Amino acid sequence: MKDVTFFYIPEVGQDLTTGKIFEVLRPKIPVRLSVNHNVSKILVDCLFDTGADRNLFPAAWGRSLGLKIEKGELVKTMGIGGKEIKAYTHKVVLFVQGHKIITEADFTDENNTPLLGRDGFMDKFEDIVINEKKKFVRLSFI
Amino acid sequence: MKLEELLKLQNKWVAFSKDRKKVVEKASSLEDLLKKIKNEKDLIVSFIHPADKFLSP
Repeated sequence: MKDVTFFYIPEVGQDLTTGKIFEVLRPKIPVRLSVNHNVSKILVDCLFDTGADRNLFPAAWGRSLGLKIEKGELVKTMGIGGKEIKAYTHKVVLFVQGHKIITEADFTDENNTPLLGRDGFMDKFEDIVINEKKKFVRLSFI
Repeated sequence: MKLEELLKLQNKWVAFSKDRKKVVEKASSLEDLLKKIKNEKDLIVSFIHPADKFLSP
């Protein structure tokens, strides 16, 4: 089994009352996307989200690789606030530190945060360790 | 990167160098950012969330 470890990425938070800023560490994984054999030159930080049923990516990312977003199967997804989002499912290949994952992702114009979900990402690994104390995610490939 | 620098980037799409130490480009939308960096390789693109909101997608 091969492991890859991703330490949480530092981002910034700000207290609304005092204005004080603080560090927020988030589990983000840089992913390279490929659609129809067009491989992205850049990587995009995706939130490793155990609460997400499926992968959800910004439509602009797919379009930059020539994907006709609206030709995918229409699906509806709902966030924690109850807001419904329209998305379109496509077959994709994801590269995570060189490891190839053949899967599906839903693309939408209505969400800025790329999400890696359970079905289509997490289920592709033999084992996953989330260490919230040490702030890392470890993915184990078969 | 210092938190003060990240604060200035909130709500923007940012392309970082491979080691995440340098901001190479930034834009208000992912579409605009990808146009700006279309000839670049191996940059890491990230959306910097608003600092005054917790994230619960």
